[in-house]
Amino acid sequence: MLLRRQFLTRLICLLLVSAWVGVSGSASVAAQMSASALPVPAATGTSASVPLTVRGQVISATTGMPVFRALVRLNDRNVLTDHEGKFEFRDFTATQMNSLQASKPGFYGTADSMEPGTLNLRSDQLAQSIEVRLYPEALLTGTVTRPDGTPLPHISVTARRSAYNDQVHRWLPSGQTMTDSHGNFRIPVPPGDYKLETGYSPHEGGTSEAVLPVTFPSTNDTSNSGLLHVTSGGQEHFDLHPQLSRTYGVNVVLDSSMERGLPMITARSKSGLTIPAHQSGRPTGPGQMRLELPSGSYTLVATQNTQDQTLYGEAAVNVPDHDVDGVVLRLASVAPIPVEMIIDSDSTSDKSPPNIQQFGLMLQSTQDSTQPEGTTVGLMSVREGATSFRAMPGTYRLQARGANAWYIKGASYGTTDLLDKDLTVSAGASGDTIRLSVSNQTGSLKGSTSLNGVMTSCWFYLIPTGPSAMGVFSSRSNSDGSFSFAYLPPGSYRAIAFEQRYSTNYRDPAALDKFVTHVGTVTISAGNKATLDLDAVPVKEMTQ
Amino acid sequence: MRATSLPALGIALLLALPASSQTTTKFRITGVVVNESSGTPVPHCQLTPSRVGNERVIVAGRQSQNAVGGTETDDQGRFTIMLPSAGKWRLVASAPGYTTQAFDEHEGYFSAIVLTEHVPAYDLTFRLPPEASLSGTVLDEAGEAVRNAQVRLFTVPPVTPDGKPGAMGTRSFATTDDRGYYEFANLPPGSYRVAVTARPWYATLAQPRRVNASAADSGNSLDPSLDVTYAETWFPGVDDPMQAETLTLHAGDTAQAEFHLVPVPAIHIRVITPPTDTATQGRGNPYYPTVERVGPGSGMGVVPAPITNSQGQIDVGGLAPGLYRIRLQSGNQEPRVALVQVTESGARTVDFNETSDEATITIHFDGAADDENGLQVSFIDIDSGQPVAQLNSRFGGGPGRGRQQQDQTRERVMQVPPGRYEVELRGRPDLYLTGMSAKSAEVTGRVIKVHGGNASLTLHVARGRASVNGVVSSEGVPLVGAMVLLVPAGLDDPSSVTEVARDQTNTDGGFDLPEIIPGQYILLAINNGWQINWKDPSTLNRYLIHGVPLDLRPGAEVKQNVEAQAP
Repeated sequence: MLLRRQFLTRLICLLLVSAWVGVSGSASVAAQMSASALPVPAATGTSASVPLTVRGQVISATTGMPVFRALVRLNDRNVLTDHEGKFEFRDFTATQMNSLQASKPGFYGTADSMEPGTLNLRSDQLAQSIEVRLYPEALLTGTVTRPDGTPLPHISVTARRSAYNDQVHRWLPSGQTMTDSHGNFRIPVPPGDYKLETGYSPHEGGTSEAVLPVTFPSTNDTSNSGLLHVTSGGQEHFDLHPQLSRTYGVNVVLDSSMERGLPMITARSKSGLTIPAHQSGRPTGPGQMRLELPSGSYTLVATQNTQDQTLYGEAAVNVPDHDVDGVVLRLASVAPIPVEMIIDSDSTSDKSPPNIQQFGLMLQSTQDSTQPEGTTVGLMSVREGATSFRAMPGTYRLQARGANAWYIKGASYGTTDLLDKDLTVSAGASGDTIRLSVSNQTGSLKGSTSLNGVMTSCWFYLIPTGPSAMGVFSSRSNSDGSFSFAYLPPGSYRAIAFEQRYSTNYRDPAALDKFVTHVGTVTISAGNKATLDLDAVPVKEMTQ
Repeated sequence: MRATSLPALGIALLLALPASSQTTTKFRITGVVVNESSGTPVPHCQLTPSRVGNERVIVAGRQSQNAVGGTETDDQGRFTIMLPSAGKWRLVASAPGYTTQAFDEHEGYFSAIVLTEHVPAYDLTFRLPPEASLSGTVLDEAGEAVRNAQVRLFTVPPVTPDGKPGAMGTRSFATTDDRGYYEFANLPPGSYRVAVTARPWYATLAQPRRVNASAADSGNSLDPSLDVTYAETWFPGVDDPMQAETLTLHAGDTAQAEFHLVPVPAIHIRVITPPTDTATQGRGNPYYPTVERVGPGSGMGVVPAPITNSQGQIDVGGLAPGLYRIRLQSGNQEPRVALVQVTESGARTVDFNETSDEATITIHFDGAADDENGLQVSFIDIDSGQPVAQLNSRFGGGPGRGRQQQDQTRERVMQVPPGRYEVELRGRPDLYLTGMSAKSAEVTGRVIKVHGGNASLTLHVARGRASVNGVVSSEGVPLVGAMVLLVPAGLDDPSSVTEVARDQTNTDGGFDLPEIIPGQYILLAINNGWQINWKDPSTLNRYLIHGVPLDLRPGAEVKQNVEAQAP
């Protein structure tokens, strides 16, 4: 829990770096407002067809210094800024809405790398001098050396960014490089919270030593938050010291129904080390694999996917200071978890029930996995109408979306309520059935978002506070600030609006503590129409 | 011994060996590994033996519990390797900070260690050169870093005794980082050239978005100052590979090659496509062009040129001057291909309906090649040493436009720009070229000079190459590491089709020259022969007068010992 809280603090720190592209009227220098925040003017009539000169300047969001040779695109015209960061489009024929975007290697359009930072400007806004901010990238640099300080060349280094995907925390690979001949690395990344990983490298320098992977900050290290925080324009240096260890052969006998192909094997040590255990050399015989591992105790985890089945197996192996023979790895087909759907008794029968596939059901792994792939299990159609999940052992969260008027009211797996608790799949377990009850007894919600008292388009987030398979509802309100949901599952919700996209762990009630005056609550009950007006968090507050 | 397999192969095969293969035998190699420059011992150096010959059996070293381990030198750089049998052994050493090399390796040749019942053990000093490196920064016209520029390092082959330019080989690729910095580390001593390809980032970003382009769209709205590109740039800043500087790296050198790229106006080519074959395909499939760069870096493949296609008018933009190959693909049809020399002032239209300026050469075979399966014909540009076109007779494809003739007339069609080419036969070691004759082209030896239009070339092919082996000795003692040359008697005769063959003697003084084209030769051996300056043509003559004349008949297996000459 402590760790979670610190994630949050870090994320908030991240957003201290402003995520906005401002337009400053030359007459109102102090009151910078974003383009969308300007009041909608009276119809500008024919002004759109008169060619005008569009001028502006590109500056660094962190230093305020001009950015020279940035490319500014206005609709389909392009120009590079001069040495003062200034740009000019002569004889520009504006359309009703005009898109303006600045870019340059080493910069991002917003502090959130997911958003390009395109300005949508009405023709009247083009008459003012336009200020565009670019956010310098952050830089992670460092060295990878042996414990004795000798540089380790050609070691892969990956920067993974902490990110939230509605319900689950993820480590997204944001940059990867190899150390140079002096063991140095540098990875330019978007500002954010990171951890660094070095790759496993067998045969360092042609020798029989392997470089073991290292993660920084260490996951076992409780003395820090487990995150590296880098700001826009910031640079952080890290010296990483992976252990080196001699490797030994591990001869594995595969006991598998699969005749063809070899499984993917990873070795997990008790200390949390994960080593990809590749087949080394030629296959030594049918059903046999030779792996190479450093001394230590491991759990070998083997997976093999084919079109119609998923095999999984585990084996414990202890590698002393010599080769190991006779390790048997038994692969068994993962038992499918059937999914059944029933219509809840309170549903009205006048609407035809949805197809189970319409709910977009997924099992999302809740283990803080560094492998983004393979952590989401989709629903498979087995045969005529029947569906099931094929999930490797692990813990998962059931995720779903609404299917028009229908939502998932209940989900159980044995005695586990899947709307509230994780689904645990254990190795060798025969698959119980997931039973879903779906209902079309929903309510609706209408509302608006305003910024500094002006109704305007904002990003807003609707967070179910009770058990739910649905994630956070997020959307952007219309240009007049209005929004509406026709079908919302009954229950209580918290809601918040931001001037710009804001990524955090919304399921954590503490995540929005900072913006408590902007948080709204609403309760939806079946058949009712609720309203909710939100006062959006302006960029300036997002970044404070 | 000629180095034919990569050191990596040895390691890969080594892994496959069961751990129980260690045996105690009398066959062994002992010695010490030292730094070639300083003479100091190299501790913890990995030594990997592999058997030379048809069967590539590889064994683990003596102390190894683990087949991967091979043998490592101790703190004094010393090692002992036990081997399971007699034979010729190749020994590869690798250590951090050093170039991975085979024993006594020079210019791709090494000395195999020969163990016999009479000489079951061999003690040697392995001189390993410290690795060299090359690094630099790629900056643009404003002095800002060029990110993600592709930097290619080429090896320039040493001058050979016959004075022919060898083809540059791509040694490795690097991509510049956020500072524009690149590095090639772990380089063996040798001669190198460096080239950079990049596009200005703003030119890539400023490409007009064509997705929603309406018919009324005024077309290319790209500002000419942004419609630029960088020519392929060779160190020290030239666009012609022939003008590039050759960087000579010695063991342990750290060299720099800096680049300042200057944008040039991007050249646009209009591609006129043939009418689509509506008769057989109904609606007719549209054509999709792909653009490849041809030349020393042709391995680069497809150029990411912006291509706009509106109503059959194809515009290929973003091109720097150079030779390109445009492939036009439509549906499942065989692609049509055209070679285009793009220049600042040259033609800007490629019309696939017209015949090109290129020479269309119909190739015939005669002689022993009643079955030329697997036989490859390559045209090597005589000036650059680069292959320009290749014909693989197995599938009859090639860069020619239109369909290849697949019938039994033993004809193949190839298209090349006008120029002079050396013709090479590959893929069939038993066959060799005895001569060529041509119509509408000039032939001298194995060189053809082609003009535009149609020409025909007949390749006279015979079966039965010869081989020569023997022992090099100096004052009665077999000599290790001597350079052995088999020089055609008519080396300076342009009509000759024979070529210089080369080897390096093994620890027993033995050499082996297989697959020799029959003819008149002079065999000679030179002690420490790799330091000779072959640029001077009279140098070779000094050795030839002391050589042994050989007349090699087809299929002959000649045994000939030779006395080494001083370098």
